[in-house]
Amino acid sequence: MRVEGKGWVDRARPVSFSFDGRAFTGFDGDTLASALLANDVKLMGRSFKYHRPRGPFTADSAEPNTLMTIGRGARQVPNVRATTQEIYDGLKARSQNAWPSLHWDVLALNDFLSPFLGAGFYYKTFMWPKGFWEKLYEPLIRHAAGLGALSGLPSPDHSERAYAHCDVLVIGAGPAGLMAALTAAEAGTRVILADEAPRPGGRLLSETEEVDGRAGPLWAAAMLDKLKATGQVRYMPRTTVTGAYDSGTFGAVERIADHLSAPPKDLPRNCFWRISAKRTILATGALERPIAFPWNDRPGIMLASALRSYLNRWGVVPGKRIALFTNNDAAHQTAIDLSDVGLDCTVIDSRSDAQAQGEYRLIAGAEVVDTRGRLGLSGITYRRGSRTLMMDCDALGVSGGWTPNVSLTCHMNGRPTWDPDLSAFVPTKNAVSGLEACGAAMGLWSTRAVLRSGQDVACKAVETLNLKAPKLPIPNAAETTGDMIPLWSVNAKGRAWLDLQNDVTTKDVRLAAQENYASVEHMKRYTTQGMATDQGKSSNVLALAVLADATGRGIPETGTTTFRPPYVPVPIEAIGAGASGKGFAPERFTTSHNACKARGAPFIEAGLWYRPSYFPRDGDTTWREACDREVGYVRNAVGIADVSTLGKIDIQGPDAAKLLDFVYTNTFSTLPIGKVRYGLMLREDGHVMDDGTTARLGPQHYVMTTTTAAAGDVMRHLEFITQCLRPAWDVQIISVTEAWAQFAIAGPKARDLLSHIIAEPIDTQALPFMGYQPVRLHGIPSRLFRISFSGELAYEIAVPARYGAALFDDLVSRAETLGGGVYGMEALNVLRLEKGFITHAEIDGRITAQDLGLARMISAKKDCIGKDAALRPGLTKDRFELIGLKPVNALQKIDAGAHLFELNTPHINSNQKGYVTSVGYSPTLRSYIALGFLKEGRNRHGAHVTLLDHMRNMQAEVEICPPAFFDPEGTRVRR
Amino acid sequence: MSDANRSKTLLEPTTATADLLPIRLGDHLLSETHTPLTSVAPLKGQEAAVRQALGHWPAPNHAEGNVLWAGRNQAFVLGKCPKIDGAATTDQTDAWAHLVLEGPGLEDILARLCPLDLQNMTPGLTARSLLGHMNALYWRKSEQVMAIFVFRSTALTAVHEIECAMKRHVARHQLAQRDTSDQDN
Repeated sequence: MRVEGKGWVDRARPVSFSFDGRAFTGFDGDTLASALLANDVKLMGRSFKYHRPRGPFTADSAEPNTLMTIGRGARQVPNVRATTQEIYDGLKARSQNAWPSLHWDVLALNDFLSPFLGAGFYYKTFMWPKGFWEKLYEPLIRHAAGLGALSGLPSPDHSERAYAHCDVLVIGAGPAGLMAALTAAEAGTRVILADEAPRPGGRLLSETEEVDGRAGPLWAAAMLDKLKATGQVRYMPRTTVTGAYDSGTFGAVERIADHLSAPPKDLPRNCFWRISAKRTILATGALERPIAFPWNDRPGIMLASALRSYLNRWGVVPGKRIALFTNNDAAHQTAIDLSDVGLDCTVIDSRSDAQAQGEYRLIAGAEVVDTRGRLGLSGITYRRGSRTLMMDCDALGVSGGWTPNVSLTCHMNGRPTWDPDLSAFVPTKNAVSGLEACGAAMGLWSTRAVLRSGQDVACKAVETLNLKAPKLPIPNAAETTGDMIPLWSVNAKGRAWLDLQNDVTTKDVRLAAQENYASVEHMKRYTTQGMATDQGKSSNVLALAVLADATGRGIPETGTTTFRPPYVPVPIEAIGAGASGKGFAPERFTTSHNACKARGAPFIEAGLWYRPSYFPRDGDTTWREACDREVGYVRNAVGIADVSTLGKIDIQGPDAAKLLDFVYTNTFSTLPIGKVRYGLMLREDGHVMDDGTTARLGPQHYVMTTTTAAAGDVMRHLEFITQCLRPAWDVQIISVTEAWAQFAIAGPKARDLLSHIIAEPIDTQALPFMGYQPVRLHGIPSRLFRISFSGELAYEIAVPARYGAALFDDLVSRAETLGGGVYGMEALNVLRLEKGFITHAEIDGRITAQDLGLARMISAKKDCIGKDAALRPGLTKDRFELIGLKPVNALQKIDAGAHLFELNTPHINSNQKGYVTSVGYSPTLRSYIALGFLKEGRNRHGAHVTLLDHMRNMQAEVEICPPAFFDPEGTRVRR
Repeated sequence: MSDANRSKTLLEPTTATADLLPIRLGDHLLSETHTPLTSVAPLKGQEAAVRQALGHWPAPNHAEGNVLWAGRNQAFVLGKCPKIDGAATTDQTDAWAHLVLEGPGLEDILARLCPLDLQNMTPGLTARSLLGHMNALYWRKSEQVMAIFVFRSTALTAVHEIECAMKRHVARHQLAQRDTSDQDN
C-alpha cells in the first residue's frame, strides 16, 4: 500500500510493468519489490527446498527471497533480486521455482515432508542403489529445488569490460563514503566513488534523519554536486564492487542497461570494471540481522530496516497493522516513522527494560514464538514471561542488531575480528593492503560518528599519498546510538529459519553439530547455509551463533566461513565480456588473405594466423583432389605459397654470431655472408625447442626464421638470453615478421618464373642452394633466399608487406601460366612429409635432437643452450626415434595419433612401442606415408609393425622406413 | 609513399586496414596514417653518437620529436631516418598499422581495451601495452590525439575492437544526455 506524502519516487511519472502476466503500475524510482508491495502483492517467490511462499525480506542486495526472471527469450535474466531491480515501462517479471503457479505450487508438498528433508537427508537417503544418485536422484532433486534458468540462447546483448584507475577508491556512497570522497577530492586526489544504488545516500535514503538540517537524500544529492564540482571524482552509480584482489585491484560490476525501457543502440548491458586504486576506503555500511524464531519466513515478515526503507524511500508499507520484534533501540525508529504517518505499530522487545521512544505500543521482555498466514502473514503469537498471547498483524519487522559489512576485507583470505562490545564482527586492520574501513562498516552507528570516521580515514589515505588533507566541517547529524542485548534465536517449538534462500533452519545447524560437523566450514557444507546466491548475507552471523551455542563455544572461537568474491552475483556475460569472436582471439591475416578467400580456400588456424588449407576447384569431390593437384604443381611445375607467418627475427651487432652459436646447436659464426643455414635450437632442458633457417646478410647482421607457432616463444627465448644470461653481449634483436610478405616459389620451373621479374641473375652460380641475395623485384628492394621445404628447386622471396597482396596475385598468375599454381597448407604438409622434414607435430616438446637423428647437429666445438641437459640419463638411451612409415597396402588410409605395436602382440598400453605424428597421402609415391616415433626405430628400417588407432578403429600393417621418402639424396633442390 | 622507387613498381601497395578507415563516430575519428618507421637500437657505447645522429634520444616511455621510445634500448623513428652507424636499424614501416584515434576523452574509449592509466598518460608519452589481446605501442601525441601502432596482421581486429568501443561510447553518451535532460525537466 502506498503512503501519501512519503518516499522519493516520482509520482508524476507512472511506470507500467507486469509480474507473472498481471499488469501493475508503479512510479519512477520504484524497485520491483516496492512497486509490488505498493500494489499489495507480498507473495513474490517460493523457497528453494520446501517451496514455501515468500516475500521480500530486505530492501537491498542482501535479499534472499524475491528472485525473479526478468525478460523473455534470449534476453531473459534469471535470479534477479526484485529488491534491487528498478522498474521501467514494459518490464516483464516472472516468479521462479513454482508450478503451476506462485499461489498454488504443487511442490509445496515438500514442506509437508520437511521432517524427512532436514540437512544431509539426501546424503543418507539416496546412497543406494549405486549409480542412482547421478541418473535419478540428483536430476529429480535439482528439478524440485530450482533457481531460474537461462534461456539457452545466445544473448543478443553485449556487455563490456573496462579498466579504471584512481588514487582513492571509495566503496559506498552513504554518509561515510560521501564524506570520505569529498575529503579525498578536495585534497586533489583522483577519486572513484562506487555505489550499488542509482543515487547516492546509502542508508540516508531510507531514514527520516536529517543531516545539516536537510533531509538525508537531499544532503546526499548536494554532496554529489560538490563532488562533481571538484572535477576529481568519477561517481559510478549502480556499480557493485564485487571483489578485492592483489595490489589494490578491485572487480566491480556496473549495471548499465537493466533499468532502461529503451536503451540506446549499442549500449552495453553490464560493464565489468577492473579498478586499480592506490588507497581504498570501505564505506559499505552494515547489514541488519534478523532473529530466528518459529515460522519467521512468511511474506510480510522482513527486516525492520527494510520496513523503514519501503516507507521512507518508496512510500510503501506492506500492511496496515504492523508489529516489530527487536532486541535494540535503533529498530524502534521504525515504529516512530510508522506512527508518524498514522499507522498502528506494536513493538515486541526482548529486553525487559526497553523504553518506548514515541507514541506506539511497547511490549517489553517478550519474544515472538509463532506466526500465522499461508500466503502472507496474518498474525503472530508472542510470549511474555509465562504468558503466550496472540496478535493480528499483516507485517512484522525484525531486528537483531547490525553487522558491519566486512565482506571485501576478507577477500584476501582475511578473517574479521569479533568485537564483544558491539556483538559483531568488524574488519581486521590491514586485511586488504591499502584498504581501510570507516563508518558503519567499522561498527559505528551514529550518523555523526560515521561522517567523522569517513573524513578521518580519507585524511589518512590522502596523507599516505603525500598530500595535505583539508579540514572540512563535520555536518550536523544525530550523535545517539541505542542499546542492544544480543538475541540470536528464540527458544520455542517450530521451524525457525536462518538461511531463507537455502531453507536452512536452526534445527539443521543443531543437527550438524550433533553429527559432529562442528567446524563452521563443515556446518556450512552439511546444511548449505550461506551457499545460496545471497551468500548468507542475512543469515551467516545468526547461523554461527546457533552453532556456537550448540557446540558450547563462543562466537569468536566458532569463527566465520570464508568470504569469497563476487559480493553479489555477476553475470558470466559481464565477466567474460568481449571474449567472443575477435575479442576472444585476434585474427592475424596475411597480405594474401583476401585473394585466398576469393579462391574459396578454407582456412586453418596456426597460432592466431589464418592460413589457406587448400584451393578447391569446381568438380572436386574431396579436399584430397585439391591437395594432390597442388602437390603436383610443386613436383612438376611451380607452386606458390604464402609463408609470411613464419617468424622473422632481425639480429644485429658485433656479438650477433655469438648469440646464434649459443642459441642454435650448430655453428653460425662460420656462415658466409649471403648464405643460409638450417638450425636447431634446444630448450634449457635439452629438448628441441624450434628449428628454422637463418641467413647472414652482413658481417654483423643475420635474419632468423622460426616456425609460425613458436615465433613468440623464440623471441622470448632470445630476450631472456640477451637480458639475463648474456647481458654483456652487444647484440640487438627485433621482430621483422610483419614487415615482410614472404612467398615460397617451389618447383622445377621456379627459376623460370622468377627470372622474369628479378633484375639480377639467379642461376645456380649466382645463387646456389642455401644462398641469399638482395634483389630488386619489379623494382622493389627485396630479399631472395634459395631455400626449400619441399625438396624441389625453390626460393622464398620477401617484399615489404604493402606489396604482398599485389605480388601474390602476380606470382600465382605467372605460376598458372607455367602449369602450376597456388598451394595451401595441406599440400605443403604432404610435400614436407615426402621429404621427411619435421614440424611441431614431431617436435612436440618431448623430443631430443638424437630422437630426430640430428645428434650430430649439436656441435662438439662450442657450448649451446641445452647441450649438457640433452646428455642427461633418460634422454640418450631407449628412446622413441623418428621413423618413416608406409602401409603395406599403399592405399590403406592411416591416421596421425595412432599407436604402434609389434605384430601379433596384444594391443595393450604396456606393449605400445611408438606413435604416429603426421600422415599424408603422397600423390608422388601413390601411397599413404607417415612420420612417427618408434623405440629404437632407426635400427629397424624394413621391419613391419601394427599401426592401431583405437579412437577411429583403424588398423594397418606398416613398414618402417627412413623418414625421407622422396629424393633422399636431395638432387632436386640443387638443380 | 615518399620513396621514389615505390612509384615505379608495377605492384600496387595496399594498406593494413584496407578501406575500413576512417571511421567517425560521435566526436571521435579513427584513421590510419602512413609514415616510414625505422627501429633504432644503439649498440653498446654508441648511445651518445645515436643521440647526436637523431638529435634526440627519448627516455623510457617518452617521445622526443619524431623519435618514440618503443622498448628496452629501442626507439622508432617516424619519417625519414638518417643513416646511423652505431645502431641496429630495421625498416618497420610495413610491420605496423599506424592508427590514430582523435577526440575528446579518448581515454574513455581506450579504457575498454587498454589496461594503462591513460588519464595519466600526458602528451609526449609512449607505452608498450595491450589493445585487447593484441600488442600495441601507444603514443599520446596531444590531449585529443592518440597514435596506436599494432601489428599489421592484427589491424582488422584492432579496428573492429576500437570501433566497438567507440559505438558503446556513443551509446553511453546518449544515455548520459538523456539522464541530464530528465533532470532538467
